[in-house]
Amino acid sequence: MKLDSYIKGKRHGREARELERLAMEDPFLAESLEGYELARDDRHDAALDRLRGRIARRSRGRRRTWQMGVWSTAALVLLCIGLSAYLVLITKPVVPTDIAQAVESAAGGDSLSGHVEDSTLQPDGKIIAQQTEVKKTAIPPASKEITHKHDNTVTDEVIIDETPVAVIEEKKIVEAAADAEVVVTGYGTAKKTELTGVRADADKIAAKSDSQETILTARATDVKIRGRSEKTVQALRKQQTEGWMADESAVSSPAEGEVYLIADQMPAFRGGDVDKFRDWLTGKILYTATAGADTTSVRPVLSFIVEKDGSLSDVQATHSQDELLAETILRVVKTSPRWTPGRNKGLPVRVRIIMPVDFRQPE
Amino acid sequence: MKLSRSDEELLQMYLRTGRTEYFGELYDRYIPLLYGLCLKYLRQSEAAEDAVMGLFEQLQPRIKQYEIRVFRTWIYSVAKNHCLQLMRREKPIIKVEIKDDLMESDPVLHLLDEGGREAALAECLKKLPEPQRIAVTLFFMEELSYADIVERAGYSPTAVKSYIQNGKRNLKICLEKGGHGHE
Repeated sequence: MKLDSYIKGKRHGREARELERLAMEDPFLAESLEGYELARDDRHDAALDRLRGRIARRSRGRRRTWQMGVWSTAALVLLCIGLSAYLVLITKPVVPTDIAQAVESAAGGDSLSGHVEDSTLQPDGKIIAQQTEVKKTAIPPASKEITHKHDNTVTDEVIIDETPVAVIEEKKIVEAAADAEVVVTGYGTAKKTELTGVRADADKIAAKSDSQETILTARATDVKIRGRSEKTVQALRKQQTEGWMADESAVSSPAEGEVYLIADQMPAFRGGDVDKFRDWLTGKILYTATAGADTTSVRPVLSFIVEKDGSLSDVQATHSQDELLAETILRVVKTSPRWTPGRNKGLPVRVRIIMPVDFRQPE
Repeated sequence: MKLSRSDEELLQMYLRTGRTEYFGELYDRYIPLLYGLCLKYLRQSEAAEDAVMGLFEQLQPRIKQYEIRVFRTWIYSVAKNHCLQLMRREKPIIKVEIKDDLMESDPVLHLLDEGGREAALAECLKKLPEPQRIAVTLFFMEELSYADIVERAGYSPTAVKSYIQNGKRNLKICLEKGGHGHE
């Protein structure tokens, strides 16, 4: 690889020149080369070899946990069904409803004891116990903590959306338990066991719905499914996509027409004004000045145009002594959800917003 | 030789099968770029190494949730964010250049590479300050590397870079005026 030999110091000749030429149009490569240039004396190739080894070790022969989750849950459910069906068959003559009950109790899990009657109650205790456990993993308030973290946070939550909530929805349990509340929020890989647990429960409930409608309702109310996490996830996901859309259209949309500073109806952000947007923005950035820094000078002025379609363009941050802060603000602004465009005589117009961004220093 | 797969193919294979080797292979391709990028922001090899590793750990289980069109651009922005974030925590005072226009491809570059508008180009080259003209000519016409130019012309490495950069910019301005040389 060309970059490798360049790093090792082969800076002469055609290949090196080719790389340097590429970097002129490739910011990724350019920044990377800059990095090597800045920290030139270090033994980078040793570090790279080490990294390669570590990555290889971390990724060798492992399967993704979510897939493992699916299979182990499936295996468990099958095992339970088989076992309980067997128990029912040897204890009683076959009556159609019993099979349904057997399936239902089997789906409830943990009926290995063979007490078919009791085991229908047991699962609830179990589910509820698990429910509290899951609650602890609810979205942390820290989710708004730092600059670019919102990206990560959103996706943290989305993981759940695609596992238990989706399963529940499929089997129409949500409707059956409109007033119920299980918080199925969680985040990160560390919580995978809880997630699998929730999913297993969801599967169990789902299995019940196939066998007996009435019991299902009772169970579902006990189990309590609350839509909150799902809503949060959707809201966040929506926000995310809107952010992207705004970003893209800011580049591609024909920005035609005059730009106003004042319009009959000023642009609105989530039903509020500039202050609402400032709150949103500062909520996404944790700004900590270094000790002794002159905090009064850190008051960037943000300026951008709210386009007719609500996207933002020409985003600039000025008057900041802190370039990193300015860049951070630009980044965050670019992920902004769409605005409601400003209007003059009922027609959408382009409006430039200029606003200082204040960062209260945490004492 | 092993058939090499595109980044996006590898990513798809990982998402389909859940086999971490695929993601490992994909990430491996970017180790040198990522490490250099993190070096730029963190300045220390240990910190950069940890950052590259940490990013891998963070992304591997979650990658499924992102909509990734071009892995290269995506990993670039994610990694940059990651390092900026680390940097903010550890060393809050390092200057960062704001380069918003980096993604654009530069018509002057292609002109210099492939030729065209020779008369205008020659005219504009003539008007460049001498060091800039020399550096640009050596880099684009004679295709010498920065290090080669340092040797040949005797400028310092940083000077070579800035001569080329400024030369390019001046050429662009000149060519946009039509290259007639009228100020």
